[in-house]
Amino acid sequence: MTKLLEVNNLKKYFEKSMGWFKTLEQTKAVDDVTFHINKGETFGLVGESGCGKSTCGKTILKLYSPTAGSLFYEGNDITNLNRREMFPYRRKMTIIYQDPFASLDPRMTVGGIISEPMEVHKLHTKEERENRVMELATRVGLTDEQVSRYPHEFSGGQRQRIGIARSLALDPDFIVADEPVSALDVSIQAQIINLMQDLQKDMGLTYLFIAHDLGVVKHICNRIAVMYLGRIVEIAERDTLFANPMHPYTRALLSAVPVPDPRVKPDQIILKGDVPSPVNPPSGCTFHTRCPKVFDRCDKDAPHLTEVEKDHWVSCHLYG
Amino acid sequence: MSEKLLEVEDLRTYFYTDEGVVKSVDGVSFEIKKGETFGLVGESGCGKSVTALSIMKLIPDPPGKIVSGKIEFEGEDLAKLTEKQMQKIRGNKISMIFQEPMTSLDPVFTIGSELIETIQLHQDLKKDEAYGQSVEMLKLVGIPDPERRMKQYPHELSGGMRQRAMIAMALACRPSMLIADEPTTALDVTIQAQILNLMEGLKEEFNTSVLLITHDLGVVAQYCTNVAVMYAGNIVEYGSVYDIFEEPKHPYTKGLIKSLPSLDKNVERLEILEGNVPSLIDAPKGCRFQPRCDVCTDKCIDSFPDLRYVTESHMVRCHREAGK
Repeated sequence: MTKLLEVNNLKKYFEKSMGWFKTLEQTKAVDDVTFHINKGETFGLVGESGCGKSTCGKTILKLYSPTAGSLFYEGNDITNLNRREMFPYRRKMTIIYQDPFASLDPRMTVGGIISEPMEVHKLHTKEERENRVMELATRVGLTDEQVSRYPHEFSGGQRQRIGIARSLALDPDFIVADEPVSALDVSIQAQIINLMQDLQKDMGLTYLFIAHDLGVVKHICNRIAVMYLGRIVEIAERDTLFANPMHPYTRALLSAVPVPDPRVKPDQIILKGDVPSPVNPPSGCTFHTRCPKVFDRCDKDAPHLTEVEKDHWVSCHLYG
Repeated sequence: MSEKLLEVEDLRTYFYTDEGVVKSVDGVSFEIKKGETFGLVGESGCGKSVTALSIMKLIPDPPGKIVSGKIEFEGEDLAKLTEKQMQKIRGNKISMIFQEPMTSLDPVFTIGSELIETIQLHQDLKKDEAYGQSVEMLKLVGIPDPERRMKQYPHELSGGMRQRAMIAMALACRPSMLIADEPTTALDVTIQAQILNLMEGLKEEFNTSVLLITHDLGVVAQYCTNVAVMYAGNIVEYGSVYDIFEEPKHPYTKGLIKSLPSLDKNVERLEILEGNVPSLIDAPKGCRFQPRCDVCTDKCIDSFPDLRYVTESHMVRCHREAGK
């Protein structure tokens, strides 16, 4: 398998000056994250709100400039490319956003929304673009007549289809899907997931799938990374992760998902307290404040992601 | 059989808008027994929240109006009560928690002053007694350091904490029924588990009935005794959790359960329900689900099916199932 994307020790800190004396406050949104994505696979990034999964996705696309670390796309270092140098990569890497209500320009028709990326990249003649728009619209399940309408005339699921058509306009290889189905109803969610899988098969796409719904992630992803407070705590193949979760956080996360079967009463691991603020993350292992298996080493040393079994990486002192 | 606490019969709540009459709730009937958790499930726009607001009589009028129906609570028909009489019921006997705790707490008051206000409004207590009871309630819902939290404003609390504060407020007067409208939808899974278990514990302690409104079938399966599935303003299936999850009869319920990605088995493709929820202004004449149904017949297009019993505890609104 060839690696499409490599992320090495990626960090993204946000700084904000606070108070009278302008003391800098640092939010460590992404803190030392390393992983790679193979060509043609769907790599899942899961975690709860504020864990840095979306920031991670956006930093990979260089929509935020990384604070430290390096990014390789098809073997090329894209970490320090400027806007102009990034331009050719923008055709290959795109994003699908979470909220289909906020991510589409309300004053543009669906056709305009889908063809805009092609105009920006000066691709095709006007006529070719129009044909391409129709082709893409049909591909994602919109009718010809809907192309001349405006976003507000569509339901959430259909808007997400428009967003997908737009991100396909440049014929990309890699798509960051940032919670693409979490704003949708269950029955619509399944429609969009199936569409994304069909497109992947037909066009050979690679996805970075960011989500908090473990059921969805399990269904669509090949490999999964679990994030907590800006760090990756576990990476494994899908079936390994669900059959044998190792990190106490992953275990708690999996056990907390309500099972849609009234006869199954899982042993829930209820975590105490809330997720600490990433402005002032706990010392040592950032999970130690809520960890049910905490011991004396945890608040002192930060654990590193180590390969415990083949292709199963865990960042926890229990497996050190 | 335990006693019934609330009986809703043929409730119809319509909204009169410029585009036409939106029949958000169109003939909904169900009953909730003492001490049970009753689930009302459905997708957005199916009328589940409007049903809850109708029970509380909090429908904005105009444009909304409870057109007909009976809401019998502890032997009294709430639909007939005046606003003044309703105020004695709300918060005292029936209280409600909402999806987004940030928008339902007033940002200019401290948690403490809101709690004290709630308690003093409904009980004849002095301020310091109300204060004591407030601290007690916060402790009960698992908020650490309650005295400090009493002085804080809603924005200083995390989402989970705010929802705990809301629950403390809702349960302060020991209501006999709690309506929880998507109480954990805005929260993360690990926090969701905390809140749902807290509600479960408090329900036992106070013998409160809970009307749990949600779109999450997992939450329903784990926490409810009886369930009603709503689609486009109607209840399409009604029964115990076992009836609904093990022997779903209505094509919509079946489709919903099948379209869930499962955690314990792998499937190639998800089964999907084609199409979208119909508009509630010009609802189709026959069965409301008929345009999306893959087993529909001519009868389904022409006539609206009734909710009929298939077993003693299980009802379904479908021509095919009821005809068997």
